[in-house]
Amino acid sequence: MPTSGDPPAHQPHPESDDAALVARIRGPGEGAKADPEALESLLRRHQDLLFATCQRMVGPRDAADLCQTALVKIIQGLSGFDGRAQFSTWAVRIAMNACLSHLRAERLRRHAALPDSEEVLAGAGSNREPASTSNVQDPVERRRLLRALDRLDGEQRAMIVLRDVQGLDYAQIAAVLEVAEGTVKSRLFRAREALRTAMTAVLKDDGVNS
Amino acid sequence: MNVRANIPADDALAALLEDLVEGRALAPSGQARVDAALAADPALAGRLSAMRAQRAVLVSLRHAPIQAPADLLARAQSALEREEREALLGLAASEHRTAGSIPASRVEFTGPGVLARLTPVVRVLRPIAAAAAIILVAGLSLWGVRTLVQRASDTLAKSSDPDVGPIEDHAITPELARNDLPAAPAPGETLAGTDAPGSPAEIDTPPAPTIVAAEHPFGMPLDRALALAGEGRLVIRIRAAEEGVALTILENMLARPRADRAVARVNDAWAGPMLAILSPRIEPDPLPDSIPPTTVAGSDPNAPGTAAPAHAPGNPLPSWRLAGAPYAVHFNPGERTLKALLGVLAPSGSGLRASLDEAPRSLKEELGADPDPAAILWWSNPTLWDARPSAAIVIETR
Repeated sequence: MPTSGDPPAHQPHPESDDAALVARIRGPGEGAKADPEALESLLRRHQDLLFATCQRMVGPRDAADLCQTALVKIIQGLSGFDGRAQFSTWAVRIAMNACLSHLRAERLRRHAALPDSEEVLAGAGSNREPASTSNVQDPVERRRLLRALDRLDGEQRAMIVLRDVQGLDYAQIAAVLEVAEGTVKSRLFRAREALRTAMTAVLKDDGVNS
Repeated sequence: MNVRANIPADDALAALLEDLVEGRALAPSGQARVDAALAADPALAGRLSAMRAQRAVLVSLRHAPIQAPADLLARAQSALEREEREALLGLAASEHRTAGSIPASRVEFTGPGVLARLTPVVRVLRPIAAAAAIILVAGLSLWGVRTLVQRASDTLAKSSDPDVGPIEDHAITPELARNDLPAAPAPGETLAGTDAPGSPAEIDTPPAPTIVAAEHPFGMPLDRALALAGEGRLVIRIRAAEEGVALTILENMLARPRADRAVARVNDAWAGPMLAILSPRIEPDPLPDSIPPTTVAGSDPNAPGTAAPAHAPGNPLPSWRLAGAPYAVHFNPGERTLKALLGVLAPSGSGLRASLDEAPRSLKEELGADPDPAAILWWSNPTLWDARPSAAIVIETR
């Protein structure tokens, strides 16, 4: 659960249910048949979360392909899932790794689409507004911020997406990004500082005085 | 663009500032630290305020519903099926490839931690494996010629000096290979002719030929082996003085490009039952590697033309034992494929010996002949795989 009390982007499924599905997928033991339907159930309940993670990391154009890649890796690696982390954390880590690999490969194509699309923004202003003095309902402002996010390196973007957009707590972020939990806060603050600087540059590009 | 300007170098201070951005109350000591930082950097307060506003915008995106495309799982299924199809096509072509290509379509490691246990060995033996691969390429190219020459020399050897006939031409039944059996019979004698009171043959073992014809260098006719594989009852036994050599070969097969194999780690739960089934079959030490071909139960060890069994009480050697974890291989049905597979598993010059054996019951469950939902095969059309024979691979060492 997020430590700030903010609701996560996707309501998590009960982890016990995930564990039960994983157990069914693996089969109960010697000579027993595993349950193929359990795998489909497990993937269906997490596919929106995985797709949202991909879309917020790489944009709508590549999100489906990367999410598909992540699903394939999840299926192939499920027998190696040891259950130490929650299934959702493990699955997001796989999706995030796919996104980070993609971003590294595309580093030279920095202007590829990122979440500056209407798809991502749709509905963002029509729901509960967080307590803030910012103009969160201003689509132009949002688009600029997402353009600024696009300018961050993959790891910093992942920090902010996982924390602010996906609503993961620090422990989950540490597990997804495979960093020490104690360093998450400081990394996150540095990512915010980078985002603020990038936002200043975006405003400058748009001829807006910050 | 330098996006790292004005970033506090102090991790502890950065963590405190992050708390501030997210609106958490600070402990007095933390607040004092932040106050000092704000006093030292008058612009810091403005930057923190901007960060709070940006966070608010980003948090608002949580409420933008994003749903995965309806066909996402179907696309993933297609991607998996495409991978498997490529693997299958690659394997179908392997029957017609040059010598040295791997005929196995799928090799599954069913046991835990073998690589971790053998990493140093694998590292040391990697050059040996590379050399073996080179030898294999040349060796398999001359396969047909070598077979003809081998048969001819075997015939000559047997006709001129039965004591030094090639080991590969003979197989001793498990019952005859027990340490407590009487001395070996004369060359060419069969079990039926060596029965004596107390011998296993007298108790419950039906008469069986002790010497297998030279045309079955792997212990049984290949068509029989393929039939057993179709039933899931074929066991490929790799006898290795150095366990690591055999494991290196198997692990190299696992590391083949996907076009040559489709690796899927199966549940560890399969390894135990498989070993339980195969262990009794292995223990009697049935392979004659260390035993001259004439050392058959009932013979006089001092008689001309005979030799004491290498593991006889007077000349003990450790019994062969099952080493490591079992592997499974799924291959295209065909004698050429099976021969090539055996050649890959026990390349000439490697010191390994491959032979074929019959499991007491079908191992289809353990071999994963049916698609394992925990592996890639869940997405497959099972009929593609059901037709592919399977075999267990076990490594025996002393």
